Amino acid sequence: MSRYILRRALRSLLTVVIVFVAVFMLLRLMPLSGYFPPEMIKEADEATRMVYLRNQGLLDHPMVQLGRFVGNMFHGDLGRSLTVYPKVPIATLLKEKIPVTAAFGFASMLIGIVFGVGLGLFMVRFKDKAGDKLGTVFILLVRAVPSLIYLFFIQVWISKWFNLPLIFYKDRPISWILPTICLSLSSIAYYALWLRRFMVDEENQDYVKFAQVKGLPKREVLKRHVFKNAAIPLIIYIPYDLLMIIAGSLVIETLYAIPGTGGLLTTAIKSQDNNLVQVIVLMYAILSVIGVFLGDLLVAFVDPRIKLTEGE
Amino acid sequence: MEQQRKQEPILSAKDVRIQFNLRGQILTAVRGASLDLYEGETLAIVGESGCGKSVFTKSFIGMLDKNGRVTGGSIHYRGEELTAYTTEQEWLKVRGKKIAMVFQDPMTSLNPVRTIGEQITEVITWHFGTEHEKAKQEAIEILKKVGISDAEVRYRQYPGEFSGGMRQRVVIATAIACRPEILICDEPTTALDVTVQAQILKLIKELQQEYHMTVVYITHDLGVVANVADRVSVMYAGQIVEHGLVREIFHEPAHPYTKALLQSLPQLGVKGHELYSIKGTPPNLFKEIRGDAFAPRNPRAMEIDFEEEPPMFQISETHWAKTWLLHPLAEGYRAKIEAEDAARKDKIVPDSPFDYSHAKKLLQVKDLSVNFKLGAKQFKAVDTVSFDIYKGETLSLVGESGSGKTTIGRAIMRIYGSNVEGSILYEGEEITGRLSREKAKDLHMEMQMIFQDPMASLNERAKVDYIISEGLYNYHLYEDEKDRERKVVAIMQEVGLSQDFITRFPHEFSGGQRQRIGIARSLVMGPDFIVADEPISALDVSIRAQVINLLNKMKKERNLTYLFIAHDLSVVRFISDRIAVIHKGRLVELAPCEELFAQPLHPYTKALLSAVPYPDPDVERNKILLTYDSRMHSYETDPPVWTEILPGHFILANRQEIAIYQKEIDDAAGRRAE
Amino acid sequence: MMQPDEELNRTKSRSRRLIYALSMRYLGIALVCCAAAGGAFRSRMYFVFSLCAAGGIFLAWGWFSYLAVTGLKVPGAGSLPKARPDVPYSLRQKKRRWQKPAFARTDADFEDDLTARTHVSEGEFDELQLRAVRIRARLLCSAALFALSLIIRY
Repeated sequence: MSRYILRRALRSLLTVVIVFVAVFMLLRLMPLSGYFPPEMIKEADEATRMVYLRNQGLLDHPMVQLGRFVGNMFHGDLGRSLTVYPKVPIATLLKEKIPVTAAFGFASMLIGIVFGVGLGLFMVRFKDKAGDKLGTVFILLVRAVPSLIYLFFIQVWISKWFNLPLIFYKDRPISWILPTICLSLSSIAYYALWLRRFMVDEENQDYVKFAQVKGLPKREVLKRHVFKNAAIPLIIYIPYDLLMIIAGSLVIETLYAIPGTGGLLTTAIKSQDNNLVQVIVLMYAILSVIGVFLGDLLVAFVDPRIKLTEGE
Repeated sequence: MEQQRKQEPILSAKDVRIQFNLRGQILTAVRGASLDLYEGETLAIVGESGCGKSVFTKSFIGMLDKNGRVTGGSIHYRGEELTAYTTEQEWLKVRGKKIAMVFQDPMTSLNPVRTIGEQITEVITWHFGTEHEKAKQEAIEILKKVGISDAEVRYRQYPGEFSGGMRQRVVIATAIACRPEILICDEPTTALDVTVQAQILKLIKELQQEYHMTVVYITHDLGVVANVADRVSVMYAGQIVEHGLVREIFHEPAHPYTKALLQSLPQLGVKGHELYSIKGTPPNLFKEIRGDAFAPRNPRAMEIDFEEEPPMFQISETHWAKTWLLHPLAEGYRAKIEAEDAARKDKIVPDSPFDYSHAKKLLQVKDLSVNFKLGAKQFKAVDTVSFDIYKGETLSLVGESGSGKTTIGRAIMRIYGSNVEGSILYEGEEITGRLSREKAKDLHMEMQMIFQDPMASLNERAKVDYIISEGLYNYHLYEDEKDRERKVVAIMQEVGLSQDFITRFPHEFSGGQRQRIGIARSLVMGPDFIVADEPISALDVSIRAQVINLLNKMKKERNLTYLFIAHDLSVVRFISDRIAVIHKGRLVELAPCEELFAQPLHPYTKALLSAVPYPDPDVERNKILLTYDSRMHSYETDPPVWTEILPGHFILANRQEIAIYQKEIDDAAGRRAE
Repeated sequence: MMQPDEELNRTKSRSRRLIYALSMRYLGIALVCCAAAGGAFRSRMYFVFSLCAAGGIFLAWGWFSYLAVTGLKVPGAGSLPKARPDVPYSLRQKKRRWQKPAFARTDADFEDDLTARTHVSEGEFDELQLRAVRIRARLLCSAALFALSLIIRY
């Protein structure tokens, strides 16, 4: 078992390094104009520009640049933002924004798992009955209607009915409720949908019928046998989802004026902030690799079949 | 047995009708089936797939699929009317506690992510409210009882750590954990190897004695029936058409369907002659059936069979059959049929065995080994195997799953690349390793393969026309489009497919027809040598007979040579000239067919032969089950050699064993001389 | 008849040849694309940068195909085809040749005296071997691209 984990860990580490190198090399192909601070684009001539680029080390061989970037990274220096937040160190920027987004994301994911799994179980238990149909309507609404529409309604009407603040204030915890709920809606739908699907699929298996023949009532069979099997494919993605929380949600953060990371990448690309793009892309790439690794690990603990097939 | 007559049945089903609603169409799966079950007996329900036997028994425990329900009749169990049950609550009184069930496939009957201990214990705690610790002790006891060693350790293991036979033991342990009165076994051994099957059947018998259970077997294998059953019910098209004591069914079958089933068994066929086969397919249960459901497939059906449904006629106190033949008015006709059958049986003389004195070697396999890599490990799927195949013979390769028999077939067909060692000569020429394109093409035309399910690997969207002519396309073996079409039609006619099928898709065909397409596809290339990889294993008894006949006919007409790969020794006896037995990648014995059955030498062959169920209750009840343990050889000090112990009879043995076998042969010869 | 060891060595050397041939094919394609990129930016520096980028792409491609072979589900990278229970009639390992345009043909497509005995083509390897070969070829090509970018001055 430990050898399995070690092998997976080493492989993931290598994957991170390779993804890092590949992405870094590709980002070297971004237009050089993205490296100039705003004042320089207007005024400076070709010669000063070249000098600036040379000083920044941007004309060095990509390998050299890579080495320098990694060296700085270990000293906590990720470079500075150019156009979006001029001259602000990116490390500081992320340190400010990530906690906000992460707090919301984590809370909403927790709600999503608890209520999503609950809803999924409820729908399976009362399959093809009114409860199931109601749940299906909810899932369909959340997934099919553009999120802006219902989010807007929630912001306007729910806040009025319960007398909640319309936007986010850092010092008023009561204003944190609505955005969290809005964020969790889609993950509730997601978990309920997949859990129901997997459970219904699993219910047709022979061992479920055999458990029923043993004399266990349906409710017990669902609880004891079906749930664990159906949860395994969901569990794989939980660490990934957890880590990717930091991507934030553009729509909700904009609606409630939350100073989070939502839409940071889009803005950075739009305003050609090469340094910022580079850091964010690398961060996402690395986190998703780690997320996949942790998911595999988690499943290896839950699913006895993994140990066997790996022959450890 | 006699006492049973006076007893009240514990379960009694009368005129049960079960219907399924399939997208608005009504399928009547069970059409008025009746059954009485007496305490302590073993009843076998026999029939082809799709005749409703599984559905019928599932209705005893309320496990019909959601779209199916009992629409008529009654099922009485100990004073309770089971058909009146509507809620789950009511069924829970019966399910598991009183009537338990074992399914066909042990690989899927257990939850893969929970330990087998948990799965047994939960039954005990649920039904009896036993404390967990005590239930655990009980579960371990039961595990020991079903023959699982190290029960304490095994208790904490997951199903994935058990072999198929062991899993079926665990499933049985779970089913009997709360001491049911009735145990329904739905094809309990179909998915298992013969030797394991024999052990499981023995286990069920022992448990039945110990717990005084009533056991219902659902099976299509008449050999199993002969082994286990006290009484037999034959089911066809949703009805019980005949029931009686096991000897009555096997020795004096009355219903034409029962007779046909028995006659189409290759074990009872005569070598070199056409095996009796039932024409056509079971009736479509979506439609109303008029008269005797079997009449359209019965060449000797009477007029009334098409008009009116026969009632149950009583033959003896225990034997009933549902056929007009038993009507007093049909007595003359019945006598005529019986006289015909008897006359035909006397006339048949078996073919003389294959003459090896002038036979030419077509294929020579020398020290063939096939290695596979499994992760870092390497294992030998086939280990230094040598044999020859003579032109015109049928050599059968028999072994259990995982023994490497299919691997040998594929190695001969050059499917594996560099992991093949040793040499294979075809008509004297080496065919392993790289060949020139011309030669490879010639070989592909001369050697063909027939698969267990030829459609499994096929493009679902290809029409039969394309499927059959794929080989022709590959090597461009036709002059023009007309020529190709002519060839396809000719071969289809030859294998007995209507030429209207040419534009149909594979999924529109039944198993037997698919196998015909598979055979047509191989034969259209005009091969001399065919590797048939379990071509009949997936088929029902009646269709199996059709395919066997086709293979034999093709062999005669086209002068083919077969390498026939199978797991069932009894079927093989009917078609082969010589049989090779393979165990764990090594050939252990090779002998002419009849000699192998008359005088098996290797302990594995003996064990295999003793495990094969034979469709005759008298033979089955008296046989002694032998087991084989490879530890009995002392091969470390004295490795075994592939030796020709008698002319044409090869065996894998070391020096010491050869001496023993030699003595065995001499003894047998001595006995014959006396 | 060939001895097993000898047979193994033979396949080894043949697969090495194929790795070399394949990686050169990849390299050729990559170089053309890089040259085009350099031309589009009208800069020698971008040519070198795009060599690095291509090297990165091939590195990742090779690595992810390796992961796919060893069982990781990489969307789009394609996993190993399921071990099919039966090989249909054909029994072919890529026996059918596709109709190739003239410029894509290699020695192997002509069976005449001029074809070198040592020539290898993909058809003689099975799927698993081919994948192993492709992975190595991609990694080799990536190394070559990086090396090339270090040599060129700009």
